[in-house]
Amino acid sequence: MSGRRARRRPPRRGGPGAADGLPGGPPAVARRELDEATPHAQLFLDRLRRAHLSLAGVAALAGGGLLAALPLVALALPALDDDAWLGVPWPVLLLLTPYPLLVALAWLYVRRADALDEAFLALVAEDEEPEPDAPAAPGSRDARR
Amino acid sequence: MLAIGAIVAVTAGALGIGAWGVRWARTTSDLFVASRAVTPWWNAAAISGEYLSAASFLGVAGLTMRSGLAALWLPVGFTAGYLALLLFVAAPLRRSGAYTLPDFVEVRLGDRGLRTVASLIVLAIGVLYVVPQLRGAGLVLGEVADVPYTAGIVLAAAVVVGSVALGGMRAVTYVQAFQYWVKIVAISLPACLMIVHLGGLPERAALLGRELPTAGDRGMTIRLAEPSTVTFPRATRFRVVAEAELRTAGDGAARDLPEPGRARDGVRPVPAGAAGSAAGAGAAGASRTGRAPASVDGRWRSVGAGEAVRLPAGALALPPGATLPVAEGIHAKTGREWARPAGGEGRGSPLFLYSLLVATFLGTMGLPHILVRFYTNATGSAARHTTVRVLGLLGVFYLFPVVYGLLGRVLVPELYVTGQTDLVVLRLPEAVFVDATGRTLVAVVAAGAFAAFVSTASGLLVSTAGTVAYDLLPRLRRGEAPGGRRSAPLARGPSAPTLDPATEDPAALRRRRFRVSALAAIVVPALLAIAARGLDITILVSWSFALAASTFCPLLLLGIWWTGLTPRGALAGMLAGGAVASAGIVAALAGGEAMEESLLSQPAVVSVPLAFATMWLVSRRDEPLPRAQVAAAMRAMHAPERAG
Repeated sequence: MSGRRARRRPPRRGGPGAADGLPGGPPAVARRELDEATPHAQLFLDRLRRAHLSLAGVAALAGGGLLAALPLVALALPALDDDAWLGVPWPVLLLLTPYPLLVALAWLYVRRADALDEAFLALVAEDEEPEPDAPAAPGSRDARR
Repeated sequence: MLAIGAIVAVTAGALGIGAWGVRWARTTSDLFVASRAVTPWWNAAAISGEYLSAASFLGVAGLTMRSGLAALWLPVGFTAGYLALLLFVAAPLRRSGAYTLPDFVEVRLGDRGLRTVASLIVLAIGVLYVVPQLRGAGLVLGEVADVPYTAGIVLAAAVVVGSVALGGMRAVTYVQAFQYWVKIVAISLPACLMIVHLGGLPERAALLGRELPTAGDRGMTIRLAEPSTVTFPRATRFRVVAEAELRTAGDGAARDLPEPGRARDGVRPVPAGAAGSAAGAGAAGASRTGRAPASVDGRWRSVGAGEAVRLPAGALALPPGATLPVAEGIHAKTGREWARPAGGEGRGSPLFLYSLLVATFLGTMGLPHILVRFYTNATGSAARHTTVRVLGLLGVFYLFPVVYGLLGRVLVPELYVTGQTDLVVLRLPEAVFVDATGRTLVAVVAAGAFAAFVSTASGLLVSTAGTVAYDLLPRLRRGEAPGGRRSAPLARGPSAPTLDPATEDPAALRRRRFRVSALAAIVVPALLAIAARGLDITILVSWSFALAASTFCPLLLLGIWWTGLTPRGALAGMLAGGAVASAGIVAALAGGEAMEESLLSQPAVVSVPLAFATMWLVSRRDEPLPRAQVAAAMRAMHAPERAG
């Protein structure tokens, strides 16, 4: 839904590679442009947001799919009723499997998400006059009001 | 006595850390300190500590014993909720600098009126969630110390208010992290010792076979503190004797009768006179409901399969091998039915199950006391790393309640008769170990349960009291940033402004207002908890999750990821989702036992999509917010900190 809305307003989204990483667009964006919210910087931010959204969407599909599939597995395998592994009944095992899988999925996601942020930061040109972080926050507040 | 000592020790430990933390943090802003010094591991332990409530500590095991292994979807959902939080909310919310959900509304949509609506929903969720916590505390205190239920709740409420007033929001990260470790030790240590002692899970037939729980080889005597109706699933014999008579005369069919600390089968001993009058009341009730009455005459009676009997207070004796009757609201299940994780009626029915997963998966992100904790992460990326660790810590914890559920079905089946399956965690250690080990372990689990209740309830109280004090009561200095925690919705990490010394006097006023609000915010749930004594507490937890999933989840997801959200759309969606979810649950409560495990009591599968659709449609038809405003909010939420 965000895609539809975003497409309608300038700046138009970049080429086909825009959503997955940030390369493919203009080489860099200046930090000052980010602060001033120029259309050029907006393009970069929109791409970053969309890249994060698709990553999160894929991970949510995986996690949600796992959760949605488990009850179906439980329904489909009533024949296993009397089976056990090391004395633990299989329904218990089935209901404990999500925990490690969720952690693994979350860990993979975090690695990819951090990589997206790093890729974005690499594109923010550092050759402008170096700005400390502190003034940035009030600036963004003013922009919001 | 031992249990009271353990509870006092844990509570004092938490208060001590809080007090020590206050002194340490007083010189500077706690948020400043927290964002600099708190690592993701500390934060994750704190979030888990605050999240693992009485519902997790006592409720999951009790519900497993009561309804079967299908109840284990609940902790799966409780944990998976953090995946949704991680994927869609954690980093952007931290970067936005919003401290609470009403803050987020203001940052993203810039609408004061909507902020008030969000505050009211925070209050509703908080109160609904605190009630079961207080009820759990009342149960624990009644069980281990014979404190009357009402007095237990008052005492628990006082402890929570005290810890909030003492600690406030300072040092709370360390207090909550401490509570997590208390809880994990308290639930895992007895579970491991019991498994080792028993050499694995006992009597698999009772767990998985075609049998219903039985009275065992020596029969069983179960104390009933008050008259109750039980259903006998199989034909058998029984008799009811007065408590006093039982103590003096002894009983051939009795199983291990009162050894102090051991046979807490019923609730509390009842004087013979009271039992007699209760028997009269039982007979009257029976004539009203048409159920077969019984009296305290000590004669054996026969009952047919499926017969419901109104029993007076006293001691119910069952012959060896008899199938146990079940209290109202519990369905007698064979091992095979009990162990089935999905399918069939009630809790295992697929629609109920998916609705529960939707509510918990999407509702966790909307719990007010959880989002607050994310603010102590230094950056959005740290917030993500914290959330991964939370998933791990919760997963470790939820390995253990199932042990109590499994062992409880075999070793303390009398809870099916009294209906107090929520007490299985507290009863089980003494059923496994007859000596002092049992009493020690009961003290350990009681301390853990109390820690679970105190940590969750104080976290919620801080959120609800803060909402009342800062959002709902008239603002201290309208239009001006009041300093402290709310001064900088978009400020980041270490650059967050510290408390301004110039606002000393208003700060004291604010503190007083906060304390008054905290008192008010605990009195209401305490009264509700006293009124809700007989209520199944899980439905209130379901309600708060369903409400969070149907209001704040769409607000957060669309607000963070969709530029087109408007205040009017957000309002319409939250009202629609919240109304449908609440209507379903109120209808389920009105319907009583029959509705307890129906879709009405778990309405998320309907209300969440409805809320999303309403929010989206109304926003589309509404006039969009100024583009610059949306762009600034999006930038604040999505740009990594180092990009300025």
